[in-house]
Amino acid sequence: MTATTTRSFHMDAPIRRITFREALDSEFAKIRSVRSTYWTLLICVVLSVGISLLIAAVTSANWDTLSATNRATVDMSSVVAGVYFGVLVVGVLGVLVVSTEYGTGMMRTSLTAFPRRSVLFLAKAVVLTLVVLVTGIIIAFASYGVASPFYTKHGVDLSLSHGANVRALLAVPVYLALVALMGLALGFLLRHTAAAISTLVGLFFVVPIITNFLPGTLGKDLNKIVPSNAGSAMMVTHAATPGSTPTLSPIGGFVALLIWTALLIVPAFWFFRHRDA
Amino acid sequence: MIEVRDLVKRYGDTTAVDHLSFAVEPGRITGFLGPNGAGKSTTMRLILGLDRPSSGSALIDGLPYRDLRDPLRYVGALLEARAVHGGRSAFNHLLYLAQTQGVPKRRVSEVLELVGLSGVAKKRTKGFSLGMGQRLGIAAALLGDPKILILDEPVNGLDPEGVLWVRQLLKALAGEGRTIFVSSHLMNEMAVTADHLIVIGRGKLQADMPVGQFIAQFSDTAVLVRTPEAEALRAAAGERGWTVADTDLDGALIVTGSTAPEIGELAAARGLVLHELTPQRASLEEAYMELTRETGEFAHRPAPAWGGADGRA
Repeated sequence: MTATTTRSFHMDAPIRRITFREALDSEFAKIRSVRSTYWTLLICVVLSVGISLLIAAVTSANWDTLSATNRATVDMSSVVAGVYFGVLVVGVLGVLVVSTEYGTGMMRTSLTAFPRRSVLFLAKAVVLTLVVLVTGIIIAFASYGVASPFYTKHGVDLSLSHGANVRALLAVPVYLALVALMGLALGFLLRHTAAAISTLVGLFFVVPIITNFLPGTLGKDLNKIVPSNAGSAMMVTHAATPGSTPTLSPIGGFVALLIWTALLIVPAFWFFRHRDA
Repeated sequence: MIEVRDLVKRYGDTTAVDHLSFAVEPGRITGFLGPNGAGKSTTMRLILGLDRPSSGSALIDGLPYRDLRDPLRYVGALLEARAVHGGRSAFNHLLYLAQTQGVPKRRVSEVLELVGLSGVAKKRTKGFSLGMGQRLGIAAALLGDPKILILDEPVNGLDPEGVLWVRQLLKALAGEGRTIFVSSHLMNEMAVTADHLIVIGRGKLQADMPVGQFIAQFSDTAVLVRTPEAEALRAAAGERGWTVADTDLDGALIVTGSTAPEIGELAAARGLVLHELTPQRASLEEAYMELTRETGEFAHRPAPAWGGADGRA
């Protein structure tokens, strides 16, 4: 503990421009080196796959009591039904990636390393997206593996030779990634874990309850575009059935969710660049 | 070199930094002094590009921090001790920082060794004491082997051994030609650590000069005198134009404007008995208090009368 050997490194080493690649490496090192990441992702996988399995088993057991209309709605979105809960967990991960940095003052350390804020913002978004996409693919195919036999034995066509079925499965990682980015944006905007998570929960679980009870076509239209319903629409492959709650088309759901994400990400980016850290 | 030019930072109606200009030169320790709320941390954040100035500029070798290539290899900063994710180990925290700077992994072990944290490198920082947190922050600042170090209250929470260690470390780093800018609200600590002082109060520059000059300019020589013939001594000192003040120590007097030998000779010439004659060195802290009085965020109460243990050793 003496102060004799501070120059064991090279003070006069050439100065080089930091690259985006280094920002990515650094963000990846950060997300990898906290336990909360693993816990969050594990919970997300277990919850999504577990609930998908549960719903499949229950549906299968009660198949004989289902009406023809209800049977017609069983498709790939039923196989990955647990994702409805999983999205919230990755949203929380998105929040945590940012809010813990504000909570600890780490954000200032990060910004002294990457004073160009667009670089730091983009690196965080890219790393989070990649991590969640991989998790989403695992969830989609694990759910398919455990849940689809319960439906196929009743004659539901879930073959992956159908483009629509593959598309619905691949919508899972996309849906999860967009929600994670919404969480990230809320983290940047609110800078506070509890506030950002509450807002996210409100957006996904409270707003749909309200819009569900809104009267008239406006209520129906609003209900279609709330994030959770827009996201769920992405995984649907069956044709709209009369009498069921109207939803967007899969591509419509994707676009609506993309707009939701942009509505949060764009201001988050602007404020991050212009506010004091 | 760090150059601050006419820097202003306002938060609503509050002016945290008020037209501040100074330069921090390489090869010496520059102490940045001011009471709590004087604007020290804000100034440091402005220098590091974390906050945007309302007007003016803060430059590092002529460039704003945001335009530095490879900033962490150029500037090392300690802003707050707890700027670490509690769930991450000390090693991983530094590793992530190292990866942003093209710094080899072995440098992480080196700085952990340097700050005395090798033994707890793999422990999660959640369990770290304030002092360990400070050491980790200092390790992070040193990681890129930077030319310039900016440290906000680095001795906060350190035990006396830690304080001494920081002092020695900073002196060694300055001796290598680096620029060291270190803030503190403790005058006495800066008096023994810094070569140069920049003192601010309410965001305004109060003094910018070498420590020796600051001491010479702002500290009165004061001598504690204990005598059974207080009134006679008071009269004699008054004739010479020296100031005599009472203390809260029973019967002891403080004489300013003179030196211990002069007072001793005067007493001998007048045949006055002295029980104690002690030069005081607490006056530097007093001078600093005087300089920044009325400028702190919280109004100071009048300083207590002379006396107490301070400076009587």
